[in-house]
Amino acid sequence: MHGWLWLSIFVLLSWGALGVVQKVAVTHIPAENAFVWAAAGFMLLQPVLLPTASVFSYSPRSIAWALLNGAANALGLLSLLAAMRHGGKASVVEPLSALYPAFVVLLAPALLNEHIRILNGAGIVCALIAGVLLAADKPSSTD
Amino acid sequence: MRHEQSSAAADALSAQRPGSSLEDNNPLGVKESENCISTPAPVGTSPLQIQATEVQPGKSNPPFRMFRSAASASVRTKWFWYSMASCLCWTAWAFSARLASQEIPPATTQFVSAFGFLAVVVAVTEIKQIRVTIQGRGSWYALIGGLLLACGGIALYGAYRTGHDASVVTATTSLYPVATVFFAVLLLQERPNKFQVLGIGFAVIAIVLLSR
Repeated sequence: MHGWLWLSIFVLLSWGALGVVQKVAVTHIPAENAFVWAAAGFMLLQPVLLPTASVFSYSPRSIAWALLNGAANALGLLSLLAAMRHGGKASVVEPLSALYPAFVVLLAPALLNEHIRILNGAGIVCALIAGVLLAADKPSSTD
Repeated sequence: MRHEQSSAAADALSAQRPGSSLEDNNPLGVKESENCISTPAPVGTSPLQIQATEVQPGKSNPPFRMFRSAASASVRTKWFWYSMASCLCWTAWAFSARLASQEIPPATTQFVSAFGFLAVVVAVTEIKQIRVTIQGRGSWYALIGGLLLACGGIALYGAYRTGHDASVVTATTSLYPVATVFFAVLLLQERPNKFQVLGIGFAVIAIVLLSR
């Protein structure tokens, strides 16, 4: 089997298991505490990504976007943990939050001057239907 | 298959005994959330009578009514709006990733972005006055979650570096919610209702179409 496929399967399994591990974590501790611990785990592997060249060789604008990228990722993770803490099922919250490419495709023409392709348009329609269907849940007692 | 059978048997038992739980059948000790959307039939109603009640012509469609009441209940829950907030944050994440990676290589973007991540962690810790202590299993699971997040990210960069078609790699890896659903059903005994199963199917189609 090709190397890319093994690595992609590893991504699938690790991020797939992540949703379940997060749900178990917030069953025992508040979302904010789980968030801090998740960040600690995330930072443990930072040395693996240590760049060979100085990061200051890049433009401040790009560095700012990269920092904003990390902040948005953190807030997304915190919101996800809070959703699970407030009774959202991992099997529902995870697919619901994974629909963000629909927003990206919708906003890309305005923000990045990109065009929506027919396939992407069909994807947005499916994402909307998925979002409505996934929302069909009873409120839990913790909410 | 064995799990499905035991789960189905437990469902039948919990339907007969209101308030009964599936904790004994739950390997991770997670409380089962309320997953079923059902209206209890009156005592003494036969299955045939129930069926006849559900398909009466001229009245509003019960599945639609059930869906509408469930959906309207969901939009009043916190978990739904937190999920939407998460979705919007990751929209910002995707845009900023694209803008940053125009100049910076992906692995370096990840390295730098971790400091933005850290800044939010520090801010949340300060605002919420969180005292970071080891709180049993929850802390360890959360730590493992962070490790899985980082491992997945590094493997993704590795997959891109093999030089294979990036759109194929993106489409393949973006299907991770399917793995979450599989693990959640298997390990957490979660039972998405029929609308949510359909929704998961649409979400998978949407993810594949949007990653093309």
